[in-house]
Amino acid sequence: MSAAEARQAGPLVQFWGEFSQSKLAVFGLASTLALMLLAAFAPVVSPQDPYDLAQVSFFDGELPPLSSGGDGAFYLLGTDAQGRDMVSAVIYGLRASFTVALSAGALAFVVGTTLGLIAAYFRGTVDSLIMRIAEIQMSFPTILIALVLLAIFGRGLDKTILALAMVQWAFYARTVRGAAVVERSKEYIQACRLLRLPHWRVLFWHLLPNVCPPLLVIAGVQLASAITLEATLSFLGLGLPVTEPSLGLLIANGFDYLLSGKTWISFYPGIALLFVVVSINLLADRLRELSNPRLRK
Amino acid sequence: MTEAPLLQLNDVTITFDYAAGALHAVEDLTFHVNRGEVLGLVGESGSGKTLTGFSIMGALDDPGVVSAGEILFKGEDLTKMPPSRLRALRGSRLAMIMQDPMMTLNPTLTIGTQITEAILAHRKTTRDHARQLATEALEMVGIGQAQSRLSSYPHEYSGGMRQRVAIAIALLHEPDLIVADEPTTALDVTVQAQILIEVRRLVRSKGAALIWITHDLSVIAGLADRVAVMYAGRIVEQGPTREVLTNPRHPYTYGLLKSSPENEPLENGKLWQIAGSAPSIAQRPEGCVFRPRCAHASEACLSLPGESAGAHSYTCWHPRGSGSSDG
Amino acid sequence: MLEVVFRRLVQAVGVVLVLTVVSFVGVFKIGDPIALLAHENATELEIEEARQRLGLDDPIHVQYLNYLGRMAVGDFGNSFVSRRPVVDVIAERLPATIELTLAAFLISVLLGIPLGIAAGLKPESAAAQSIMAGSIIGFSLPTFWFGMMLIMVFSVSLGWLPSIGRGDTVELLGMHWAILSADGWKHLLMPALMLSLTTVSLIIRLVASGMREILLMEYVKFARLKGLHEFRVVMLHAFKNVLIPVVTVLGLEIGSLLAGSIVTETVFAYPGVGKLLIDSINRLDRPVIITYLTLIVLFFVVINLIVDLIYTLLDPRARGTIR
Repeated sequence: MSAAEARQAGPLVQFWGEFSQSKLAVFGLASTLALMLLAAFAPVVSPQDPYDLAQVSFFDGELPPLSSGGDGAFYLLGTDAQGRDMVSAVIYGLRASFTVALSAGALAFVVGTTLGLIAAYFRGTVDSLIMRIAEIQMSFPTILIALVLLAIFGRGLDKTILALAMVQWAFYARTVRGAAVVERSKEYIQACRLLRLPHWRVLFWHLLPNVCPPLLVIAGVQLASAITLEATLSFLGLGLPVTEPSLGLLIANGFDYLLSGKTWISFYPGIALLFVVVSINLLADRLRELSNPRLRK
Repeated sequence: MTEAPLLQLNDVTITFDYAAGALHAVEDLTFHVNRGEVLGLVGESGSGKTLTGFSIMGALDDPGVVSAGEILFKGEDLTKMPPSRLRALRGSRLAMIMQDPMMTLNPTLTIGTQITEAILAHRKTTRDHARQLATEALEMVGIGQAQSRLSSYPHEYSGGMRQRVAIAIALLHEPDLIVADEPTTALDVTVQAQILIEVRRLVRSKGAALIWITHDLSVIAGLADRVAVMYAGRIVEQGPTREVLTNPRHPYTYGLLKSSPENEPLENGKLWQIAGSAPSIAQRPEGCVFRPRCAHASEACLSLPGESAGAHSYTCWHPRGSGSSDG
Repeated sequence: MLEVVFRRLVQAVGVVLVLTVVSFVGVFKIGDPIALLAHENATELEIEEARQRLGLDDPIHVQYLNYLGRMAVGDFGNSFVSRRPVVDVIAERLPATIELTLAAFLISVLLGIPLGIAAGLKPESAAAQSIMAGSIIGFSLPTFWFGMMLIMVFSVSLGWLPSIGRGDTVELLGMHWAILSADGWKHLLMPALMLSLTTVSLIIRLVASGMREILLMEYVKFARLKGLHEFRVVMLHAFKNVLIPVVTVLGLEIGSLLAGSIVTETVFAYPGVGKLLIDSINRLDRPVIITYLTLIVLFFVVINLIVDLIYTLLDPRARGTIR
């Protein structure tokens, strides 16, 4: 590696060096990536398409794990009441959960970051209006707001994404504003203003890159919370429609069979959900630790 | 036969036991303090002087421990004492005043609570009487309207007043030994002088012994009877203050004195300073610790010099005033 | 101080008014309740009559003002579904939710604070590490699934605890309380555990990291140097300072628990106001939804106010500087 290369790779290599000191965090990162890949390639990797009626045999319904169906199909995690292979259902559920959480997260990220930057940059009335709304909203639990929003919008993939984004934008806005207010007072931004650069350029070209580290932490935490939130809303019957079941809806569907001892229908989707959220939280926890000098060892 | 010293440290080593390995922060420390005496413990930050203070109080933070040697207080080894006995001594026979007055008082408890709890920890009496004693203690350190000020919180006091409170707490039970860790550095110069004089007066009137920890030799000159100079975890020179200051034998002490701002600046207008910088705790050299910065270093310095005999002792192979030229 | 409280109250009323408008407009959009309420072979005339009776054909601002006017005199209207006054419907469900929320709150405090202190005192110890690992899992566990697993273990497999409802109740002060009967306690245990899961984990983490930070403070060392007992050093000098942020969070967590009870009550078919809300949303019972939201907004504003005041009491530095 040449000296120039070393300098360029410097911060990233150094960051990885510190990050990888926690084996748990590395595990979190690896499993998060693996789960995302699994969700992305669900049609390729799952044994059957659980929502293609031609592939699902109704007569294989409610089979326990490790059993074989009428046509010789092997069901590692058993089947649900409609005879869907649970492995496939979980992988497709993962796909639905990630789709909602990542879309909502991206939307909240863009809206929240933009509003936060605007608030920090222009201050005054705009600032107090944006932050007052965010503040009031954040004084209520996210589940309550999301629930009311979905009660108003009705069920649906797009509506769930919208509701989650409307819940989460405030967290991005507050974080970005906090970091940007500090940055704004520094010389380089003052210089930009003196040079009369266009506002959008200062905002997105100069201010945004410097508030990224805290954003990364928030993004991790919010991704995990979006997945849990969507699952909970779907469980309450307010999130995704039955035609696109996420992990939460799978669990809800299995609930009816739990009392009769058919535990696998809700148990395995739950384990998958727990695994996803723990992985992301381990990752986010480490990022938070690294971004807080007081917790650094 | 003279009376045994109040406090005697023999070959004390303080070790930090990390998972990655043990580090010796302070090594082979031997010194004593007599009753009614003021000892100045001088050194740069990182020399181990504050740790030494805490080890005497039996209050080293994890993972620091006294791994070798003994700390004899009235003939009893503090390092082998059961925790309950040590706690009984702490705050009553042994007291410490810490560096930063803004940080030593608990922000959520009233001054009164923080004084009375120190009284009640060592003395069976009523709460009212303890409050009475607390008032007197504040008056003694020159805080007026003490009665009403007991119910104030630390943030309502100035830095100088807080340090007076800390001093009042230290003196509550007329301790035999007080360890003062640079208690004036965080204060205004005028307040510094005032507190210095007051502490000295209080110590003299009660016949206690005082260890004054500082990085500033000039403070020691007017205050201490004897001085011990620490460098990189070791005592390099100790003896009666006047002798050490006027006739330093160790090159480090000499350098420290010469670089004091009270001296004439050099021709280029700058202050004289010792070449190089003090080694960190993990990178201390073999042999004489001062060797890498010393103008007189020789082959001999690769092995650790022993401590010379006498009231004014030093650990150096090439002490000043023994034939060699000035550094 | 009084002036500050007054100013905060005015602010709070403003927030409540704004949020009732938001929720009223929102709920107005949910759908046409008549479609769900009217029986299948209702005539045009009957429907029109019902619409008028319920005031559904007025413009939305008239409906809102009517609603505000009636609310001011304590009339929240009748439930579309049960035809009974909303106040009565909610009042009879309220004790269940109060019991559940309080039980979960107590579990959170009694479990979270000692475990947090233990984990913060010796962070390197095996016990502390497992407490912290447990809290990460508790934080990540979807609560409804945790509740279902409780049912799976304690109701289905072991048969120790009932999985549905709140059991026998005893009447006191005109309300029905389950905690006054042994059967009620058995019904309360699992829901309360499920509800407290997130809060317990949060409190553990908060107390543990607070302890770790505060124990390094000079004033804690100084307290030790005074010869105080270690118990007093930890519990008074360190813990009181840890407590300040914890109390703030605990206060706000009451609100989260109340919101969480919606999910908990759904899992355990527990007849509280949370279950009522979900049922009402599914049946488009507007007056109940609106009243629930108005009450919960009021509750949150009051909680925030109280938490601010307690914070001022605990931290002498904040006194006199409260906005």
